[in-house]
Amino acid sequence: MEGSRREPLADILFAVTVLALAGIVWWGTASLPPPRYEPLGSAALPRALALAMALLGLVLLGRAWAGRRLQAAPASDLGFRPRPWLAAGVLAVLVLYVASMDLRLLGFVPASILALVLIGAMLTGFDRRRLPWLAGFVVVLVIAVQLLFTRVFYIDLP
Amino acid sequence: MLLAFSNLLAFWPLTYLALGVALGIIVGSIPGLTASMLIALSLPLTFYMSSVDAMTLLIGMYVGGISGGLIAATLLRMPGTPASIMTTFDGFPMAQQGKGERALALGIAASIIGGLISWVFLAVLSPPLANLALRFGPWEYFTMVLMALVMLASLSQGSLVKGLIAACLGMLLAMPGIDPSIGQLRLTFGWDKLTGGLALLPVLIGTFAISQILKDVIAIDQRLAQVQVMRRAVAIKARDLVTHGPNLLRSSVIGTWVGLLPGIGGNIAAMLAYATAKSVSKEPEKFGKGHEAGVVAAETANNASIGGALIPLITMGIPGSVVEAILIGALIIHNLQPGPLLFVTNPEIAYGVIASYLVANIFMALMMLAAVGWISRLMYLPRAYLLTAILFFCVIGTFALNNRFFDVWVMLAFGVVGFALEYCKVPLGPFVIGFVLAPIAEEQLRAGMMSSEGDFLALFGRPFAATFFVISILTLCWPLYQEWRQRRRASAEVTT
Repeated sequence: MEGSRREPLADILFAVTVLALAGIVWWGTASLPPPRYEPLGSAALPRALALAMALLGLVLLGRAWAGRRLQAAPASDLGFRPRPWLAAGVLAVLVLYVASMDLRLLGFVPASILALVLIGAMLTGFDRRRLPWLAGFVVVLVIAVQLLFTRVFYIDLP
Repeated sequence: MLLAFSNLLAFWPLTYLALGVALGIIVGSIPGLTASMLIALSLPLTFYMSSVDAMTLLIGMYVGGISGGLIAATLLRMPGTPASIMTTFDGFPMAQQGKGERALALGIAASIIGGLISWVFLAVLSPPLANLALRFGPWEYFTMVLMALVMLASLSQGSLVKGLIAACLGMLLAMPGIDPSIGQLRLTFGWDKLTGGLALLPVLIGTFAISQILKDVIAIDQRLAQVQVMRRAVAIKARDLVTHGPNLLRSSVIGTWVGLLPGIGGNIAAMLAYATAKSVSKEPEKFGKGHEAGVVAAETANNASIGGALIPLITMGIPGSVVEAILIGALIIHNLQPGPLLFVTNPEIAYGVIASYLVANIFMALMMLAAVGWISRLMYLPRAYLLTAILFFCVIGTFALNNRFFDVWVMLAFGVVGFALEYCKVPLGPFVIGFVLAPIAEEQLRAGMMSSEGDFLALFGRPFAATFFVISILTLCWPLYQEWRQRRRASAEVTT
């Protein structure tokens, strides 16, 4: 139970999300017909799980709320600077990469090369000396994978 | 069993096994990459293999992945896999004292001995257990799944409440789509793409690979310590096996037993074996300061836990940990029904897993002994290249499943979900295993209720089902009782 004391805000947000999800599931099962040929029916387990999640969410919320005034533990020295925005940036590029192929704006090879070079460049801190090597690596990787999937596995790529 | 060995000793199965072990060792030795990630990412490639070859490859990866963690744990004090945490306690101090090669040789010896002893348990216990499980009905299966989930949630690190929420959440996310019992569409919210439900592979790749990559990107500036360049190969001395014999045997039994229990992975097995070795040692003060017995206990137990965990997997279709949940996914993808019937309908798979586990351990030891110096250099592969390539394989592997982008979006969404859950200190194990086991739990519960005409209490008329149910309740109540006792003790201390 220690974890809930250390991160009360994250726990409160998590508990609220769990409660909302339980509510959505309960509402989603409301339109399901009652059981006819068997005792339980399609809605029983989802409803039971939603109920259990709501109860557990309330317990978590109560504990987190009670522990919210406790002083947060001092951040431990990780020995490096965490880069959450870099992770968000990589995720954003990944979303754009998938969207560009899903919406047929770009084909598999150009979309993959563009996205992977950009992600690699972000991860190397846009180091100009490493960029040509990275681009070469990405081009070889993408073309090799395309050949493998289309010529060996016979899978159509986007 | 002999047939399984003779099938395995052909060119392709042996090649796949060696490849799996080698990839597992490499991935296990690189901090930040895990066996679960490797196995989840490799699943799409197994579509094009026979079921036996696919399982052989994955078992090789599992054994290699757990064993490879020894290298980074010893040389960098960074466990390559969570199962190697305890190895850092004595392995790294030994490396600092200039005995890194000795620590690695002992670790490899311990890993192979642990693997071999747990293989004996796996080979001896699995067939009779599967025979017993053949007599199980829906109530036994439902209560067994319930027991696995409750144990997993309560024994996972962190809060019991969060573990239970994770299990419920995982089960709930397996509900959308067509209800398998009566064909009723549910929880799709009018979205056609949800009709078939959420596929297992995108969920696994998202939860384990994408979320791990996001964590690795956040820690991209972490610099690895440069360690002394080592010899390419190390050797095991027969004398060490005698000196550490009792520790090897005891830790193997602990590892196998812990592996058998759902939800307790190799890290807990190593922790228990380490604590036991320390408590029976004549020199307990040396533990944590580079004591050989510490490395031996931890590495023996974490490898032995794999054999133990494979027992419920192949005999009952119940995963003991995340990797086993992925292996169950692999069986399902290959249209095989995990559980006791596997020994009847597909004995080549059931016995093939047992045979592969033995040969994988032998390959692992040979590869590690011969190439540990080279493997240790792989720890310094540039992260930018590695993570970029893995992200690419995540997208391609998921797309290849059904040639549709919906699966890729699901994978990305579950990557964020997995990352958020870990950020909130919610264990991922119960979440994924809940997702895998939910269809079995629902199907068996509904079949049990139909057979007993809606009477839930009928399960108490069946000894195994009643026992599993009581264990579930006790497991659920035990942490609450402990908390109550701690509070009572604390208040008693305040009053005195």
